[in-house]
Amino acid sequence: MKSVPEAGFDARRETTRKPKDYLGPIFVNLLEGTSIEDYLEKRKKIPQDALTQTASNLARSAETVDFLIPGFHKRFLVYPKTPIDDEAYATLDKAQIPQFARETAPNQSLTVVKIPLNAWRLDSTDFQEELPTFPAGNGAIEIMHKLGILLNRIYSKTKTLPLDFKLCQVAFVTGDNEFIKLVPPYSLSEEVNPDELAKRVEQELSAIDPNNPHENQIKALQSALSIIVSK
Amino acid sequence: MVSNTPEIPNISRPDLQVPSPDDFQHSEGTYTSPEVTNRKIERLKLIVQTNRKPYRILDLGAYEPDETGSKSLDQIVLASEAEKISTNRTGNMDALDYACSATPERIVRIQSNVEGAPVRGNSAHGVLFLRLGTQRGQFLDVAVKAFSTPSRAFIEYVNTIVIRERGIDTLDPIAVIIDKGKGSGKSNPTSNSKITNEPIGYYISVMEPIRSIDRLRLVRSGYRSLLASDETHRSYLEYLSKTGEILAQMHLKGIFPGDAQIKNFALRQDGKVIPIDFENTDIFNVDFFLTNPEKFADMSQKALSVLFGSLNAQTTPPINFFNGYSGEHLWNAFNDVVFNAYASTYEELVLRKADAKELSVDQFVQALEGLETIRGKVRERVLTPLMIASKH
Repeated sequence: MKSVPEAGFDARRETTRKPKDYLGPIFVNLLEGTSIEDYLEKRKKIPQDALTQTASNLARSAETVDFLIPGFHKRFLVYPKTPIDDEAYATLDKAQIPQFARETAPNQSLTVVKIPLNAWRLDSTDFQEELPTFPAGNGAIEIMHKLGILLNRIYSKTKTLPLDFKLCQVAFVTGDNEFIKLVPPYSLSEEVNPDELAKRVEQELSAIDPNNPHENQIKALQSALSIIVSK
Repeated sequence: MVSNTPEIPNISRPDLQVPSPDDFQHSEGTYTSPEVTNRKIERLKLIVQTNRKPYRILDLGAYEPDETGSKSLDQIVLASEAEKISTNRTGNMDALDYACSATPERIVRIQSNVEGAPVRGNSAHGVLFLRLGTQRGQFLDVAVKAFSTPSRAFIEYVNTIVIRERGIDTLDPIAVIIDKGKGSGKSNPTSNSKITNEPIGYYISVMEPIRSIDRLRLVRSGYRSLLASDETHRSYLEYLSKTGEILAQMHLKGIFPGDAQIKNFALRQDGKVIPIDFENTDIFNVDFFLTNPEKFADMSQKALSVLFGSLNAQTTPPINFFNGYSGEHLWNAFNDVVFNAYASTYEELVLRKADAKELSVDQFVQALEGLETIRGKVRERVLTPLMIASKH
């Protein structure tokens, strides 16, 4: 009896897809070294096909890389380590907030986050006022509700919220009931007010998707957030 | 990492209630209720977990495409297998299931606690996303399409296998399971009617982390905004160009998707675009562009025109990619985004065949003339406002 793999399609893809063998060593090399400078130098030389494609790529800065090794079904977000991010990760972990797992790199200056292959940039989708079908799909109203619940948990347990929140700080993980997750590097602050955060989301939705109304999405977000506010 | 998930509070403020399903039209046109979906899942579980015989492997090598172009391959295979997959109430149901050779094992279990797969679905078939268990103790994450006409499930299964065999990458087919049901109803299994009495064909494929291109916000925001955006966002145009490349590859392999809408192209994480949904695909011989040049040009034009129409369609939600363009500008825009990529790939493939001595000089010339015929037909289609209006 063979061991049971974590995800079903992995077992089949082994037989149907050839791994890009050369990407594994490039990734290993990227994590080696002793300083951020080492990393940044190697970062410049990463081939384009090692990067997760645009509509999915979770990197928000030039220093961050969303590295994809398709043949091995691995994906990692790598960026220079910061105390603020480490502290926020520990806080969320202690508060039992679901988040992407981390791995240790030989280069101690780096943070390596394991990203599932089915994680997408939330701001890559359109935000039509749409309810979910079951279980085939979810609409933007449910997405905003889930986002509110995530932020609700973070705020009620840590009294912090993401600073300068934008939708690109959130990933949409298909096939997972907890399908909204914060994308590191984190920057949590006690200064952020839930109402202000909801307002920022509303403004961003209006800016990035002006063709659709978002009233009910914002209501869903505010509603999920308001439960903690009233506590 | 976190193991205990805290209890999720429900939306409870009366003044901020989430609207009811009736308030919105979903992309499927109707709201698919959990009850209907669960009934379909329960029925599939019943089929899989009762005493059905192991799946048959369909020997597609025994079938030859019709070079006259009068029948596509799926029609030929279906005609031969029709007796076995007929939906009348008699006969041996155990003989109806097929599995592709890549899955020589039986599905034995359907995960009872179905995880919602939050893929923003856009399917007329109420696609189910399930986790299945196999004989060898492995899991398969799958997409299951339920058809009220079981032979349609079989057709999609046959087409997908052949398309992959001809080198076009798409989701891996697993099996087709055909259930005659207990009645003879014809209504749609995605509706709220009594589905337990209707025949259903289930087409099962591997579910990979893909997304339909039409749901990308920057594709929906239109060509103008993409042209004006930064370099990163302009890569979204590459996704559209890849649809043209894929269509050229398919056409030159005798494959003509009848529903080449933008929503039937999906994006993988590695940036590869793959075609999906082959229920209405016609497959002919691989040198169809030589043996039936006129029909080849017509069918190629049709697929490209459907793609064009889907970028300017009042679907739900609407997509108006070429908003603001008309006449020759519209053709130029479609040419830039899709047809140039189609033509480049077409020429490259034909040249490769010529280099490999697979084409004579006359055939080479004929193939390139075929491309110009397609270009002329597609251009005419794009420049005809009446046809655009009728599409809407």
